Amino acid sequence: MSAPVSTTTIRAGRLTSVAAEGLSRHFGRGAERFTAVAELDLEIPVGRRIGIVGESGSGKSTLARMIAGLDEPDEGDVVVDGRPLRQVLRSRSQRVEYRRVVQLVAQDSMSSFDPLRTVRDAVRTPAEQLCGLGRAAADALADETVSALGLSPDLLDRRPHELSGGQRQRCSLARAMVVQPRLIVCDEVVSALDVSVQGQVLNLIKDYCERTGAALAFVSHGLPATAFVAEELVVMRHGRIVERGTCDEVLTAPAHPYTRQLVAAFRGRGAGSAA
Amino acid sequence: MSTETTTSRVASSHPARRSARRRSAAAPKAAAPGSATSADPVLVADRLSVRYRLPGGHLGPAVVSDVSLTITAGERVAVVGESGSGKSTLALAVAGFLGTQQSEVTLDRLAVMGRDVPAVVGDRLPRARDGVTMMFQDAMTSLDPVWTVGSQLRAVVGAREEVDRRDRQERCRHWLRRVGLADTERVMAARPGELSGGMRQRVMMAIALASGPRLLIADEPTSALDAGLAREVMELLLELTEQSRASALVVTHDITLVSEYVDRIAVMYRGEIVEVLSARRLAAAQHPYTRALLACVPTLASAGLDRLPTLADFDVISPDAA
Amino acid sequence: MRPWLHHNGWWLRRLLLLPVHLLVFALVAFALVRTIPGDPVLVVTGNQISDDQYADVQRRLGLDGSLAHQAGEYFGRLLRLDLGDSLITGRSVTEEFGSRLPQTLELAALGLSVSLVVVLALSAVVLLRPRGVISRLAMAYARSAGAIPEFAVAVAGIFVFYASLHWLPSPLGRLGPDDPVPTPVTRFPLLDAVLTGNPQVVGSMLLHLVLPVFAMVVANSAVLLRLLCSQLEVELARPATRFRISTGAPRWVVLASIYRRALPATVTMSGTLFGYMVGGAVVLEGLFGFGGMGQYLTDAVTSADLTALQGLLVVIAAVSLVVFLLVDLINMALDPRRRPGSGGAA
Repeated sequence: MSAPVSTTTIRAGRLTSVAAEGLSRHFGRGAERFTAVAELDLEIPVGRRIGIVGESGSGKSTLARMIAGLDEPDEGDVVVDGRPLRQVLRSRSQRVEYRRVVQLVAQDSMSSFDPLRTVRDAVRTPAEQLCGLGRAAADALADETVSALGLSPDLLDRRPHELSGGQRQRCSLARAMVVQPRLIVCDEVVSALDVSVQGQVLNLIKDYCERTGAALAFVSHGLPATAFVAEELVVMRHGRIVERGTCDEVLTAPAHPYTRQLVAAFRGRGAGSAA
Repeated sequence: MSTETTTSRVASSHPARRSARRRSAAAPKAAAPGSATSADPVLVADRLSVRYRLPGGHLGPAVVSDVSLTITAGERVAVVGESGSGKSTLALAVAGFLGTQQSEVTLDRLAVMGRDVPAVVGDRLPRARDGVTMMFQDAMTSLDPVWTVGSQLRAVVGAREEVDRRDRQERCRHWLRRVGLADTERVMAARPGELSGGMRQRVMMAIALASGPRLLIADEPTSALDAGLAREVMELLLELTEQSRASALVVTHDITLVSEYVDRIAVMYRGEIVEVLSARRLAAAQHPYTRALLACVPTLASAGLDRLPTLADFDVISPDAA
Repeated sequence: MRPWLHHNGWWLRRLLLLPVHLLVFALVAFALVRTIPGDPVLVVTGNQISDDQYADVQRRLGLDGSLAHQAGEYFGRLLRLDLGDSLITGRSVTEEFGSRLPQTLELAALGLSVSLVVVLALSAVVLLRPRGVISRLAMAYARSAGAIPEFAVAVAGIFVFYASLHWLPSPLGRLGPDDPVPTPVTRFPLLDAVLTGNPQVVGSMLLHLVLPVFAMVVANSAVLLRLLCSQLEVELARPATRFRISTGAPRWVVLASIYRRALPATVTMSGTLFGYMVGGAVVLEGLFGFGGMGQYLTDAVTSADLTALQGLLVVIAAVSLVVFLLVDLINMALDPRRRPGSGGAA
């Protein structure tokens, strides 16, 4: 099982870096106003795997959605190869291109699929619409992508509820990888999965990025999983980055008190593991 | 209940103990410490099997097969397994939430605090099982979203014993303070959606404790929570069951987290309990599935690995590979 | 004052929206009549009229002068609750509605109320004794939803209970020939009868109401029953219900908890159904010789009485808006997550 690097030729997307610059996002109004992301700067160069950890409500998912262009910041902007994302999304062709090079995979694979249509439909649609492939070529590419993720292509003809949680999450990976993105944004992709399946999915994500040189923004509250897939860790709290560094630095010498607490919370775990 | 088969092991209709109005006489709160160490185990399940009825009326495969489990007074046991392992069904059977219409149960014995109890219930609206309280996932799921915390707590406090209005209010405050919620008036006036995640968890715990359980069942109490809150919940669960000398049955997929908080771990795989371990000695696990499961859990040490081990590396079929 | 406002703002705000909704609707009705292609005056009168007659009809329809003048007249009259005079009979439309509409509304409201009581009772039986005879019959009936028209039930009822068995009085009005007619105070007949304090009048009126109300209940309850039972089923299976049972909450508390979460869909449906029931009541009035909107409506439509029809449009809209207001308020009371500004949380 190895991550898909397709033989079907689709033009490689171009992307060198995506960066958040002074990004802020607020929800609610008046006394109930809540700042999810506050003046945040973060650069994600293509080729780098960055893990973003924090507790629920730390703003990490909002950040992920803004990077993927699915939510609009209130202040600041996401800068794509030197151009503001707002501007990129305004033109249709550039928007299609951005959707192709940056793909988001969400936690809840059940609700991200249309329950009435087959999974094949969901996987080939991005190939058709974003890469301009014909039905047959897109189908072949979907088959190929899914088998590279260790699933039988027969599964593609099922509907989402007929798949197990792990199979469904791998299909949502396939839906993202089928267009060969240069940046994959993962939002809590393994949190709802059983431990035995988590490893599988994490291996596939890491493998894809290593093989294709794509960038990864991996958002999760699980420190061990994040530390495994990422090279660099960003710790978020109350919408701000409190610490960042290589996995090694953050895990062995956490500087911020919150990071220390977070590392300690996971330190004790798995001590009794047989492995 | 005429649909049940006729083997001697079928859970037949024990005459429903309607008269045994739960928790009326000996309110556990008032129980002396000595009573918790009575000889009877809190739970005895002997060779329990559960099958669900399929839409056509046929019986499906055994979701729980031949499971035996005993929990002594004050003991904390975890049932660990992955989705589809049957762990939640086992918990539902113990708590009395399996109905004759959806399931068939065969068993040798199911007893709570020494008294035999029926494994399936005939009513569509089940009744409470004496001494057993079950919590369902996180508090957002378990609590009723449209009623205030106060009314939900009062209903439970008032059910246990006849107390007048003012006394009842005072008891509600008592339970909220027990779980560390000091601003009792505000919490009681709020609805679950208006509280923070941590507060909601505490409210759920307060209501569960107010019902005076001898056995507290928690089904996936931490799966929806992040690491910090998950720990907080487990610690609270541990502390409060200890204080009230109740036993606990925690159903979870997170073997490493739960191992820090319970005495014994029963590992479930494909409907069977394949191994029961002391939580202090996970390393002594014998069964291949348990060993594989432990090896697959990502830890901080995974950061240096090229790839994470998966069940397939141990020649174990993942329950997920349906 | 402020905390009071904070806790009660949700229904106050909804209540204050009513006049706004009414105004918007009145505007739409105003614009609608003025955008009808062709000349309404000619449509109403035919071509053969003198200029004087033309001007007179135009004035009576409120179509004379500038648009601003027309609008001023229109809203001024609306505020005085003056819907104009009928072109055909010359009588005030407001007065006609005032004496007839309450009769129709009362009949429909009675039908809906009895229906809701029956549905609540049956659903509880289905919930608690799912395999009993009553539950099986109730569910079989619920599956028939919408298959039995009101007038069919009414005609069969008249045949069996009046013509054959003589158990019920003749379908020739709301009262027997010897009963004293109550003075119209509220103009709602049953209410007026109660206000007379004469048990004979009340009893007679109730007996006369048995069949039409029965017909409405039989024809309309199935939809509600089916909806409520399916919602109850969903709420029954929720962990929140099981947690309540497991913690030993009394049975009535568990039931209240299930019903409170299941009811909003049924309340919304009742609002829609009330509209149908008003329509049904118009038919039943004819069948049972009741006074009400029935005959008046038929006359207005067949004689192209534009003022009466315009008035009807506004009145029906007002009634619907009040019904939807009630639906919203009840649902917001049942489920606080529906209140505006409540953070709600999924």
